[in-house]
Amino acid sequence: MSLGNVSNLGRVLDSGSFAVTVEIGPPRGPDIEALKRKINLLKGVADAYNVTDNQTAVVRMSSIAASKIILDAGLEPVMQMTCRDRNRIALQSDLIGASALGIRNCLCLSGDHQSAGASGKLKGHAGSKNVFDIDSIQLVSVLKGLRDDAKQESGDAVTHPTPFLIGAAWTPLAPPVSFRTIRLAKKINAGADFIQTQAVYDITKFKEAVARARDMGLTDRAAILPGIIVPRSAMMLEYMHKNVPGVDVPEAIIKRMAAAPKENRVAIGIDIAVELIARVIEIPGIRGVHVQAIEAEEVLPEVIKRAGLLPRP
Amino acid sequence: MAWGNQRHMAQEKQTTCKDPRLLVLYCPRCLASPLDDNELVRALEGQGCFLQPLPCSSKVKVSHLMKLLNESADGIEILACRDQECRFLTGSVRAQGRVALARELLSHAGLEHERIGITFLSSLNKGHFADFLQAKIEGLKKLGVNPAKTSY
Amino acid sequence: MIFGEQKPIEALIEKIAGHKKILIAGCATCVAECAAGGEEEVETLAPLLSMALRKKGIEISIETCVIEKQCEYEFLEEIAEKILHVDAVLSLACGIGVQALAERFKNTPVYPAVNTAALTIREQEGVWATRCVACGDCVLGETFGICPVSRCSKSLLNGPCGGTRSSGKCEISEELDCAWGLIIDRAESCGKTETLITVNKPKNWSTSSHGGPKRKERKDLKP
Repeated sequence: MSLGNVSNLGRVLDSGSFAVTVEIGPPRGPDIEALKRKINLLKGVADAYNVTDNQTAVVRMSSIAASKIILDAGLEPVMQMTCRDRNRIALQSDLIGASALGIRNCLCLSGDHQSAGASGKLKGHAGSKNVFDIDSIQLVSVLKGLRDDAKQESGDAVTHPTPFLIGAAWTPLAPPVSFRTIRLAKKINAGADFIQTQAVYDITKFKEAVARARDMGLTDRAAILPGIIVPRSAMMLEYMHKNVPGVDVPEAIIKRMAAAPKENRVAIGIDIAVELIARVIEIPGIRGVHVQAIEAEEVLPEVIKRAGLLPRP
Repeated sequence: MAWGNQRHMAQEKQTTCKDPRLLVLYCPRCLASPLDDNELVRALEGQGCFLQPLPCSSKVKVSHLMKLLNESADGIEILACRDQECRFLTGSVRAQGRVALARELLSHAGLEHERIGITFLSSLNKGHFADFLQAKIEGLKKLGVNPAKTSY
Repeated sequence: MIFGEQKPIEALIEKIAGHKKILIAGCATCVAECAAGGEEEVETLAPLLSMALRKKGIEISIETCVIEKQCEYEFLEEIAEKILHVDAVLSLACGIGVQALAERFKNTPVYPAVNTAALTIREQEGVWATRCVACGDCVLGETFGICPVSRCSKSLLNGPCGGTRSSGKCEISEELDCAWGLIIDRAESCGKTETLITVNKPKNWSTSSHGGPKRKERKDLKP
């Protein structure tokens, strides 16, 4: 199946243009207005918008519902779907439902463990029962089966195939680093069309990881979109470096953020993000970026504009 | 004086009418010389302090401590060698772990964990030994008789 | 072995407070190994409960026993006489032992004093860690002898998630190894990493507890 026929993101990737995705986190309540504010802020800056699925195991509006709201506003969602909360029956049912609603991109994730609870900031539901019936790679293959063969995981038929552009995540710098390329290969072998990565700050290490993927022919078979998180403060960078698996922040970047006077912090953060994008664009095999600004989405249009990625095709 | 307070005092009087019994379980190697001073032993017993040697402090089990407190002891003090000086290498460490568990269990059961203690000693001579125990007896007197024991 | 740990003493007091005469029944097998319900624990709990209740003004008679294997009916016969004279049993066995008692002695209330927690190995003195979840379809042959079903907090079958800490530990606890990290290490030392590129299909969970309770028969062993 040609990617271009599936979704706008597929069309952009298929045409050889450099793709841009950003993230829209669903609200912690049925607050359509909150979503609309983000939609209005970010309209036109990306080819598709990732809608997270109860990330860090915090209850939010479902990614399907939020994706549909975004879709109705004229934006294309990348519906994220984790294996934590649904077994293969519920996953496939939701995928068919999402497909019927017109959702065309899905990012397959294992999901944060339910003990995460927003990294301890909220109570969360640490006492809940998890599912993990299938894992993220198996979810990729389930999507491929539904799309290409109109078959469920068990082999039973679905009446119509579900046209999804299939996404998967990659954390190239989490240990064991030697295995991360193999895990990427498994995701692509299972059927992933595009890959969004964990936040990249250490360009040298990331370049090496992409080179390993390129050597295995993986960059030709799936579009890799490195994650860029706009830094807000040195503290945030230090926190991510220490606590977020697979995120290595070079000291020079932390120092630069630390040296910025308070009133310039936002601007320096934007500078850093723009520079990071410029450097990943140069890496052979990279076909887009996934840009995030945690709880500060208002900076995204400027970051993407200054990176020379506007207007979107 | 409010009635509540009077009642409290009456209760207190009742529980302190008899001196509490302190049981000392000790590793003989903590002491500089064998405890062969009958006079000292008798004097201590007169104050409700009873001495019992163990082959090693690690011979104390949590079940023993509970049994003793349940039957007749008001306080138990274990005397163990200092960490690096245990003849059996890890004896003191084990005793310490068990005392910690016993105290935790007592607390959770709503009982006074202070009734069980452990002290690490090194070659304590007779004079210091008597002083040390005197202080322990005084401490236990403040805590009073164990209200949960069966025999007085 | 089966690993269990004692319930909080307050919870036990609450359960037995209404009875006059109870039997505390330990088990000399798994729960004795993990110091939750063997002789030492029985002989600790009995006086402790007596004291706690006495302090509340409740006198209760407590008898004790330790059954060699509380999970087998044959071993329960030795307490058949004793149980006639008590009005409740506090069992320090695993959940299987508690149920064996309840099945054998239909008229006596049985309360668990232990939470049965996991199938573990004793990694070192005082440390137990999960090694199995009895999934009913062993994958150890494909995972170099390390079980991802029980030891990966997400039971992943295709490699480590992105949550592995820089220390190589699991996303949910610094105390837990990443099971896939261990599998990969062992695959590397066996020179067989290439086998890990195979995409493992979704697991058939019907052989596990998800397929319903088990009742397995062996005709050759049945009378």
